[in-house]
Amino acid sequence: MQGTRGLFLIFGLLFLFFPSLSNWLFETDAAWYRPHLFAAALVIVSYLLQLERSSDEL
Amino acid sequence: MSFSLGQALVAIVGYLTLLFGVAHAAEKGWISKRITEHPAVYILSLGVFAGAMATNGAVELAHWEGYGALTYFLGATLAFMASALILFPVLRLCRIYQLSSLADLLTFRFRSEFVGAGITIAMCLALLPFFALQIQAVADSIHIVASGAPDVTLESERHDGLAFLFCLIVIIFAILFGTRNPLSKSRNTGLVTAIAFESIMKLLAFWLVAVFIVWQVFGDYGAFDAWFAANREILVPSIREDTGASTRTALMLFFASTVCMPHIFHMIFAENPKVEELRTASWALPLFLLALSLPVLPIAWASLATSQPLAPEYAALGIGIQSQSPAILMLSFIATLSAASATLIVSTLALSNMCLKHLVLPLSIIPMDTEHGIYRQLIWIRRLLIALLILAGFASFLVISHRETLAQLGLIAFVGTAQFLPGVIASLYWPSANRIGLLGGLSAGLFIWGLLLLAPLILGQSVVDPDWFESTGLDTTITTTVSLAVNILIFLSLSMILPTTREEKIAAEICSMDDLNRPARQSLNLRSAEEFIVNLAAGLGEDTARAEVNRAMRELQFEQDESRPYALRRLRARLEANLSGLLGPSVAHSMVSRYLPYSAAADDGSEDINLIELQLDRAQLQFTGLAADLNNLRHHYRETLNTLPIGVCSLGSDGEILMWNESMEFITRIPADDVLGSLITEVSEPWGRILTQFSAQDTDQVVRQKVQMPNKQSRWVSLHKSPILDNALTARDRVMVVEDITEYVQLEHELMHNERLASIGRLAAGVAHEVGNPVTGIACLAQNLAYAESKAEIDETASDILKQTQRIGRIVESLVRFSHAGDVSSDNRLAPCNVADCADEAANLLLLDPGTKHVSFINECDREILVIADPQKLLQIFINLYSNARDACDIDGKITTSARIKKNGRVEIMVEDDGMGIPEHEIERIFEPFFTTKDPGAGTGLGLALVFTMMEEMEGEVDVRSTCSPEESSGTRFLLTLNEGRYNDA
Repeated sequence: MQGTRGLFLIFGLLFLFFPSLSNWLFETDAAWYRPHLFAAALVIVSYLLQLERSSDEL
Repeated sequence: MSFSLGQALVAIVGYLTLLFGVAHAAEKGWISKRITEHPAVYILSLGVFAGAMATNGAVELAHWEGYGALTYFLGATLAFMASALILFPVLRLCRIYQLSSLADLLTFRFRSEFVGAGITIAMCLALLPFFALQIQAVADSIHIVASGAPDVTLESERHDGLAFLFCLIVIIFAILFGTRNPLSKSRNTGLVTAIAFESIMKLLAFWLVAVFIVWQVFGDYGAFDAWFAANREILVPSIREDTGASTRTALMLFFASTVCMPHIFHMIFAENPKVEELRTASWALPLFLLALSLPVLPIAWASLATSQPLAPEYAALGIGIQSQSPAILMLSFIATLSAASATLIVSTLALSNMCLKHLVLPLSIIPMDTEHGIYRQLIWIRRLLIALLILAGFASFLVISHRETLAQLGLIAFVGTAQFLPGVIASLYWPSANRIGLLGGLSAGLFIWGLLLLAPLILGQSVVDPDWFESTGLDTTITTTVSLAVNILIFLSLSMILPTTREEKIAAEICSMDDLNRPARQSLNLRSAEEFIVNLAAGLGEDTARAEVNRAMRELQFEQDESRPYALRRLRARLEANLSGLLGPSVAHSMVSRYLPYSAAADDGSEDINLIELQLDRAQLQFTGLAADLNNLRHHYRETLNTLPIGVCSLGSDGEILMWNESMEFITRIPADDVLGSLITEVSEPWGRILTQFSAQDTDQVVRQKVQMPNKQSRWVSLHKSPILDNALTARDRVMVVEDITEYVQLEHELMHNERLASIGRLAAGVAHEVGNPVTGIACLAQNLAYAESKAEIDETASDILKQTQRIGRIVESLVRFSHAGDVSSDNRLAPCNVADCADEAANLLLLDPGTKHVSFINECDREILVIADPQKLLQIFINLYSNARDACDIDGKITTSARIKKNGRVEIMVEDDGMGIPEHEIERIFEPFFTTKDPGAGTGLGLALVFTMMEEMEGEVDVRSTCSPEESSGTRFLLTLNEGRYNDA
């Protein structure tokens, strides 16, 4: 259940900081692929989250 | 720049033939299993999510909304990122209960075939625009590739015949590689490998097109970057001004579609038997989607930069035409073809499965052919459904094509399928949700969706006043929000107002993420796997019933002769799960309830302790915090009970063995695994009989029970039992304690023997004296014989000698009989026994003791009274009592023995003396071993203890009354109670 708690925390933070995140993603001088960098960060977070879960949780 | 129609046809047939080849090679094992079973293949097969919506629709969205198009990929990324919240719990249910579609899941949770039928019909409706999207993308692409026509909206010029051919090939592929196995449990290797291959193809094609665009259309990457910087304000306008609401809605929409779309559900759960692979997919699929999303924006922007002639969704094809590049044209076409065909194939497979299990079978549209086996019939029905569904999709394409763009068609389908998300989340997290709430909310949400999005699409005009539509600003985003809000509101309200049925509550417990399945321990009327087959044959046919029962037995690793109730309950549950995979949860549930019913009388509501233990042991690694502490406590107490040095066995109300600790295993020589879950009556002899009898007795303890072990050895146990009270203080279960007292009993017998030998020793001098007197007499008589003068005198002397020898014989016989009682290990030889004779013999033996004072033994027993006793033990008892009585009496004391038959058929023997009596504070201890009031060396303290033990062995009782007062007449009275005997009892 630790992984689940971490997820709730991440989703909560994403929701709270969504406006700031949008501003950062679409800044005027940002590279065109900045949203993809954000997606890449999500991939890394997903990878770390699945590492936390024990192999026998089902 | 274009290809001919023939070339386009060759491209389609060539590509799909390649796809057939890959699938066939994987099925036949020509492709190594190391490849086909590699997690990467499964992850790539999940790329089915990215259909024509990704290759064409997303480019169109990027054209209009810039970065907004990325929400399509980000929604799916978030769904996989949150897999611990939704996907893993669903996978757990799907694996255990063989669920393979959303309709299976919701039917299982809400326990209603109406839910299954409703979900299936709604899903078919919601997917019509989705099917139309895939076919339209292919049909338009063929048209563009074949004609190079800029205007693809002219229906007269479209190649619907080629689109139909494409549908036919897809039907053949889906039938050949998606319906090989009727059991949803096993993976369709060919299908999965082919879909993974398609994912690689579309990714490669998409990337090559993007690379071409950046380096050929813009010049180089620097020029592309510079062009973006210069046009940034135009390219991302909506996002800059967006408050975030529409982005959030879009994210939620694509998140929901990832969970609810049948083709994704099918690939995630039905084609994946491994947890590890989904774990890897939780980050690897987002990585794949990231890779697939990278070319979307450059392609869309190139479309703006070059003013290519086609609609934005076909921008890649348009750039190919404009740049006169046949390679780009073909790559773009292949990307669309692979994306659309994969999505269409898997969607149809998933939907056909739903239609079969939730419409055809429950409604008995086609009766099952139980005589010839149902597997083949199921496969053929499914094939027919696949064909019908794809043809329905083609029909919907003909009706609604070009009324909306590809992205709009996709969004309409996604809003429809998003209506199922509240049901999925409630299944996992809200136990109070009920089927009426689900159906009510779903109907309302779908009604709004149908009214505002589907109906205008089908009818070609809005059914709502366009002015009102305009004034309220309704678009896809707001329709999504409104329909979902109404759906959720009605779902919540109805579920809270209306009661949830018992079945739904049980299913909710099973589905609940933090809960373990706790089925009630119910009894089955069936006693063996063979009876399962006979009963199930009525519904499935004998061959199918036998195959299914044998499969379940193999999966559970049960022996063919398995008959334990616990095992049979697990077999029943496994059968229901397997049949659910075959026929759907509602048909499986009703079939199992009908043919393998629980015994109604035995439903005591107690929980299946063995199953709970098993599940807790399996799940313990995921416990944290308080749950982990509780689990540790459980372990501790479990181990304490398990390693207790006395045998502990607990029984359910129906006699099912719930616990059998290590000491029980040692005492009985029966392993716990052999008896746990069995009825106590089925435990092997002699323990089954002993424990069953004791369990049925009113008494809570048996102090001593002899057990004849199979190896002919005798053991002694003491048995105790106690009811286990539940929370309502009702005794349902029982616990029995079995203690091995063999060593104690053997020691006791040895003491008994020693005591007897001591008695014989004490008697030895008296015996010598008693034997000496007749011997002296015989010697005198023999001397006189020499002087006998007549035959009469000789006869008289001989007669006297004979009397003397008889007297010696009697003494020796008594002594021998007494000493033979020392065979301590011998069984009770209970037989009718004359009390008076036995008392006489004991008195005679004691009279042999020369060193004792003179007392009178008065035998007042009726000579006809018999008791059931072991004669030698009874003799020993009298000797011990007389010996104590004599020691307590003064010289010339009297020891009186009497007997009477009581009304209850028992005989009471009274041994009474007029001695000093026993002080009150000592009377409670006199039966304790080694307790004596005699002087040191005068007594061992074992006499009365042995009396007590021997009386118990003979099913008798012993009691004592004594007065010890200087004022009153003192004395002691022992009361022996035994069963009355008769001569014919022997």
